[in-house]
Amino acid sequence: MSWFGDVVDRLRGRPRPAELPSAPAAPPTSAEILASVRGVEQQVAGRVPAAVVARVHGIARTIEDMAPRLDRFGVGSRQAHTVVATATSYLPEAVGGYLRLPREFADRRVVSHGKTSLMVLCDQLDLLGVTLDKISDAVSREDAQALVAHGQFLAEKFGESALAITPDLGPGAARGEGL
Amino acid sequence: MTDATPLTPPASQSAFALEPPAPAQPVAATQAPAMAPRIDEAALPGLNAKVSAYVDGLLAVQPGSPELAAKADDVRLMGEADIRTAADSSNRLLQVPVRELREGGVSGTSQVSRSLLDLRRTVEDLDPAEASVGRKLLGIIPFGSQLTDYFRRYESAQKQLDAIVRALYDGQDELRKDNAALNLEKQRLWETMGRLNQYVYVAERLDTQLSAKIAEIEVSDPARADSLRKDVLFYVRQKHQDLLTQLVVSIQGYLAVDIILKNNIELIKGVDRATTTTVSALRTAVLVAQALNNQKLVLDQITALNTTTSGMIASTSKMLKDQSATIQQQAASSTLGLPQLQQAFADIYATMESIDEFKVKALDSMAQTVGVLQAETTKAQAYLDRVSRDDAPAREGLSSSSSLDLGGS
Repeated sequence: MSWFGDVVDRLRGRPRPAELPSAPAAPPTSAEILASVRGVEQQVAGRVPAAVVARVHGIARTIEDMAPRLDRFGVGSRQAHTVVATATSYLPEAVGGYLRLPREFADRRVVSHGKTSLMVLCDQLDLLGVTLDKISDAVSREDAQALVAHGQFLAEKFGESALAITPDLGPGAARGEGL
Repeated sequence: MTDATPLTPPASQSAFALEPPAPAQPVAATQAPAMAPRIDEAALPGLNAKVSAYVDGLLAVQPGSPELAAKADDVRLMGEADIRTAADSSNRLLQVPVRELREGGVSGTSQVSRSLLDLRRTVEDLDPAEASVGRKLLGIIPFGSQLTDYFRRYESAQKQLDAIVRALYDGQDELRKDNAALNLEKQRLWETMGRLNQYVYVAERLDTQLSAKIAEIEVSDPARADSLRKDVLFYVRQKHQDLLTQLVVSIQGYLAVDIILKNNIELIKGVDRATTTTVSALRTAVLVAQALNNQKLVLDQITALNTTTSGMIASTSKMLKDQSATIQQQAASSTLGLPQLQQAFADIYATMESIDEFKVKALDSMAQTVGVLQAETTKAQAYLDRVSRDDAPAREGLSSSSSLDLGGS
C-alpha cells in the first residue's frame, strides 16, 4: 500500500526519502546456511591440522542442529542473527584468513601476543563454538521446559491426590494377597 | 545513625542522544614529546650512555679526518629507518578518514545508513499517526474493521522488518570489524611514536652536551669548535626538527584514528537503540491489537520474552526486557490504546533522528580532521623529498644505519 502513500504524499507536497533499491536482501534461507557451512568443511578437508578440522566439524554440527529451529527465534532476534552470521560470515572469514597464509608461516611464526596464526584461529573457533553451544542450549532448554510444563499439566489433571481414599476392592482381593 | 529516608532515584535519562567526538586540533611540534608515549625509566640510562659515548668519541677524533665525517654521518642517519616508516605510514593514515567519509559507517552508502532508510520507510507505512489510519480515527473510539485492517498490516510487514533488523545487525558487524582493524593500527602507531620519542630525547641530549663541549673548546681551539658546529651540531639540530615533524604526524594520525573509533562506537549504540525500539513497537502493537480489537496478531513469538538470552547479557536484551516490562505493566493497568502505540513509534522516530543528527556532526568533524592531517602530511612529505634528494647518489641500495640507532625495531 506504500504506492498509495506515495501518491498521498506527493499531493500533500511532503518530501520523499531518497529512492533506494526497494527491499533489503532477504536473509539467507536454511538451505543456504547449510550450504555455506558444508562449503567451509570441504575447504578445510586435508588442508589444515586436525585441531582445526575437529573444531570446524563441531561448529558445523551445531549449526545443522539449529538450522531447522531458526524460525523459533522471532522477529529481529540477535541470537538468530548470530547463528546465521556464524555460518555465512564469521566462520568462512576466520578459516579463509588462515588458509590464505603459507602453511609454514601460519603454523610456526608468532604473530600476536606470543601466538601463531594457527593458535589464533583455534581461539576464534573455540569462541564461536562456545557461543553457538550456549544459544543451542538455551533453545533446547526452552523446549525441555515446555515438556516439563506439559508433564505438570498431566500430573495435575490425572494424578491422584495424597488424600484420596483408595476404593475398596472387596473381600476377594484381600485373599489374593501374598500370591 | 541516619534516618531511613528513601533514596531519591537517579534523574531519568533525557532523550536519547549520540555525542560525536570533537575534530582533531593541530598539534604544535613543542607539544609533541609530551603527548607521545613516555620513555621508560629503565631505558634512560642506556640512552644517556649512548650519547656520552658518542660525544667522547667525537672529541677524540681529529678535525677534517674521515673519522669525523663518519661521526657526522652517524647523526645524519640516526633513526633513519623509523623516520621513513613513520613518513610512509602518514600517507596511509591520511587515507583512513578520507575513506571513512566516503564509505565508512557515518557515510550515506554504508550498510547501516541504507538499512536505517529502509526502516524509516517501513515504519512510516505502519505508523498509527499516518493518514492511512485516518486522522479522524484517533480520539474517537475506532471502528472494528478499519482497525483490523490496520493491524493486519503488521503481519505482512513482519518479514520485511525482520530483514531490515538483520541488515542493521550486519551493519553493526561491519562497524565492529572496522574498529578491530583500527585498534591494531593504533597499536602500531603507539609503538612508532614511542621509538620516535626516544630519538627526540637522544637528539636533545646530544644538542645540550655538544653545545657545552663546543663552548669549552671555543676558547682554546676556535677552528675546531667551528668545524664541530658546522659538521655535527647543525645536523643534530636538523635531525631533532625532522624527528619532531614525524612525531607530530604520527600523533595527528593517532588522534584521527581515535575519532573514527569513537564515531563507530556511537553508531553501534544508535543501531542498538533503533532495533530495540522497533521490536518494542511490534510488541506494543500485538498488545494494543488484543486490547482494542480483541485481534490476535500473528507475529512470530514477538510477545515471548526472549528467555534464550540467559547468561548472554547484552545491553540490547536488557533494554528489550525493560521495555517489555513497561508494556506488560501498561497492558495490566488497561490503559493500553493507540496513544501507547503512537508513543512507541515516536520512540523509533526519535532514535532515527538522533542518529541522523549525529552523522551530520560526525561527518563535519571528520572533514576538519582530514584538513589538519593533510597539512601535517605535506610537511612529512617535504622531509622525504629532501632526504631522497640529498642522499640518493651516495647511498643507492645501501641500508642506512648509525651507531646512534636504537636496537631492534
